[in-house]
Amino acid sequence: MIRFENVRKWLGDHWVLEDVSFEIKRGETFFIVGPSGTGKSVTLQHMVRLLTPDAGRVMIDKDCVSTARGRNLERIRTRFGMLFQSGALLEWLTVAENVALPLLELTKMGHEEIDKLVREKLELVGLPDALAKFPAEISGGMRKRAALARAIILKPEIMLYDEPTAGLDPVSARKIDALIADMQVKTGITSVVVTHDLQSALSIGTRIAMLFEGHVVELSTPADFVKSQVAEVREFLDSQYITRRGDWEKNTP
Amino acid sequence: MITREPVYLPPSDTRRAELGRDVLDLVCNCGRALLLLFSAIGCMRFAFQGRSRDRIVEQMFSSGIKSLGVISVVSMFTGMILALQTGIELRKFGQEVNIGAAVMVSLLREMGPFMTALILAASVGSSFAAQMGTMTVSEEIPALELMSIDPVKFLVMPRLIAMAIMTPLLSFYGCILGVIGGGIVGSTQLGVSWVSYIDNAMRFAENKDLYVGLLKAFLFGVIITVVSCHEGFATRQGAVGVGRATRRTVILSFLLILVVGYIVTRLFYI
Amino acid sequence: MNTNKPPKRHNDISMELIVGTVALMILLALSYFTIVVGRQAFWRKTYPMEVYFDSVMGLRDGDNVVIRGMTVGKIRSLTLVSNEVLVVSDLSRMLQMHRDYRIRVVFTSVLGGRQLEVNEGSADSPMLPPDVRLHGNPPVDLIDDAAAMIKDVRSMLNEGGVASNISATAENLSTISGRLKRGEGTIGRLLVEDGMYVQLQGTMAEASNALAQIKIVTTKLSQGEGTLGKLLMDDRVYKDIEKTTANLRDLTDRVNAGEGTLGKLLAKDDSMYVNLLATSRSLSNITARVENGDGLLGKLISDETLATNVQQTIQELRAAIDDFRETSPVVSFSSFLFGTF
Repeated sequence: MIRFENVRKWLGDHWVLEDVSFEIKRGETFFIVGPSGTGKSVTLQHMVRLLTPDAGRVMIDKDCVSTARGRNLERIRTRFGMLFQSGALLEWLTVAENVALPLLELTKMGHEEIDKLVREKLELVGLPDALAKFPAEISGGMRKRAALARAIILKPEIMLYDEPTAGLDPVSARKIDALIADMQVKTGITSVVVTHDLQSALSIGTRIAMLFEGHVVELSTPADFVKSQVAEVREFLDSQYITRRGDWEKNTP
Repeated sequence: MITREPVYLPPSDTRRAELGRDVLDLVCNCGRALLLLFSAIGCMRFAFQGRSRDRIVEQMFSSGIKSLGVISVVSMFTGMILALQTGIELRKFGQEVNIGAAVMVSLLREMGPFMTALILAASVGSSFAAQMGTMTVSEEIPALELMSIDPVKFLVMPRLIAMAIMTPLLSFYGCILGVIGGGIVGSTQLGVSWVSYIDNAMRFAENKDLYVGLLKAFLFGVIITVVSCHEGFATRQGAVGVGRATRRTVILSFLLILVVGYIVTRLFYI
Repeated sequence: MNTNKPPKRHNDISMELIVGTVALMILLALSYFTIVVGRQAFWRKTYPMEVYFDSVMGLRDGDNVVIRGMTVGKIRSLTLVSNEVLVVSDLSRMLQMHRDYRIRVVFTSVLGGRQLEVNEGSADSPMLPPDVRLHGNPPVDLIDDAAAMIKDVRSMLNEGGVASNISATAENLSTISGRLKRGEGTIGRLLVEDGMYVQLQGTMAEASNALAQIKIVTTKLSQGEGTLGKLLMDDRVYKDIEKTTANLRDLTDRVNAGEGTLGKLLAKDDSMYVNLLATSRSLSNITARVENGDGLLGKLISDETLATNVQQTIQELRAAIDDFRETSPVVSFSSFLFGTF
């Protein structure tokens, strides 16, 4: 569904992506992991053309997103929902208004219908009481969940998550994980998650790609990932105290 | 497309390369700001669709009505200062009665729009820039764009319309208060009665003064909005960037207001 | 693949570059036309007019050209050629001069400011060929204008063969003097200027004529003659004559002190002062006030009977102030605002 073909990207003074190629299939929960500064977010941003590759291309089905323009790009983008690292809620709107925003702006739905949908989505992300609160009044985890509600309200085919669990306490983080997994199960949505949190990746991911210094050094299922012999992967696993004999194998399909 | 890739360039080797890059940046920024203006004008066809209309009214309130206080005070005192200064000079010729005309005409033509614009640039313009800047650095602008909500239509167009309408109105309001302030000084300090003051003011003010003043105010409103939104959208590097965008907005708006004010005066009065 | 070299910049700045370049060019062009190029309008078609003057009295480029009070163009340039000044102006319309055309430099106000006044000549006089060299008339000084006013006053005195006229004149003059007591400015200056001596002498002569007529009237009255007898009942005439006496005394004092223009005048022509009555007081007072002059030319305006001349002077003063104000909104802003803080 999403295919990276030899993508290269120069940012600042070095190649952030040096020849990245992989393919994400429909319905997958695909994780991109790696230490900070290895181009995970950059990879994600290439999928919706927030960044344009210097070489290579990114294909979304049959559309080349790297060269799309105007209406075409807009059409491709409507297939995506994206959860930004900060949530990116509009600060001057309440949570409910934030979630309702895409419907108000882009559809001709009536107020009652919108209201119903907003409640439904907020319930789905576990925020039924935060309707009238402003983003500044709720915690980071709640903000991410509200943002998630906003991202899925237009029923995208592909959800992109940029560090969904970063900066959250473990409990909130696992709640977010559960949400991502839940959504995948309920809607069959394709999810791409960028994170350095291997706990999430190993528990809910279908496949994991490890980026290191602009290259994909490992691309496998969680079960194989923990067994990987690649030095960078091992170091990364060790840094999070994950051993080969963890109970990850049970969860893998 | 508002969200753009950050362009990282290697440090330039020579002074000349640096200068060239600065000039290129200036030209590109200028073009980008104008394209922003054009696309905002293009978005005006949506101006009367439900939500946009609400947002315009909201902006008119928050940027226009909320500035009434400061504009009242500043205009009033400007009128008083004008009356006092001209009055002291004119008294030497026994022409104090003409302060009405002096205050009215200078306010209508120049001071009213100019002051209003400076106040709005410093208050509303900087807040626009800070808001857009914060939204840009906290990924709200890209988020909007990914949701296919055009930030220009959603954020810039309502502000542009609100400012294009409110600046002339505020400017006119400022003129009226300035004239009243001048009248107060005239009647208490210079011995010019209200009747003769107002009579004199009305006799010398022409419709043209009013219209050119309003045109200026309109242009100033557009300048403030475009500059502030452009600078906000161009923000990079977090809080520091927001600060820089705000600062640049105020400076650039002031400069452009002065230059455009001069050009308009020149075109209409010679 | 060479991994150390950065890629080229993307091409998506080209649109911005084009728009920016165009915008800056327009701004530059606007600046050029509004700042560098002179004051003529640059988008209208203009017709040049060349006029030769002996003296232009401080006419400057950018000053207006008016026909019958209507502005039709601006002075483009002034050049010295041999012993003349070539004045080139841009007019908004083609002018067809007649043989009795008149072009002169006039004051726009008492505070200065000049304009070129063009009179194409009367329609029934023959047309000038288009390539003829136009000559301007010598400039007009406000002082001369004021002198003309004095002439008017004189003619008023002159024509006043009847007592009612004289009384009106006397009243007017005393009003003027009253106004000018506190007055300086053009009229005040006029009266201290030695050059005015001759003019004044003329006026005095006329005044003496008029007073001679009063004498005749008085004589006739003393003989109880005719309907003029009722003039005796006229309070104003009585008062005027009374003033006259006081004036005479005042004048004599001043003459003794040899003060001012009038003093000089009277010292020279001793026989005259005997006949100076109504005018003497006014004028000597003016002289005195002018010497330590303070006050308001403007007050003159309330006089309704006296001559459009005075009123015009006031209007000119207003125009001058108006002008001053109009031409410098930015200047006034900076001086008022920044000057204040």
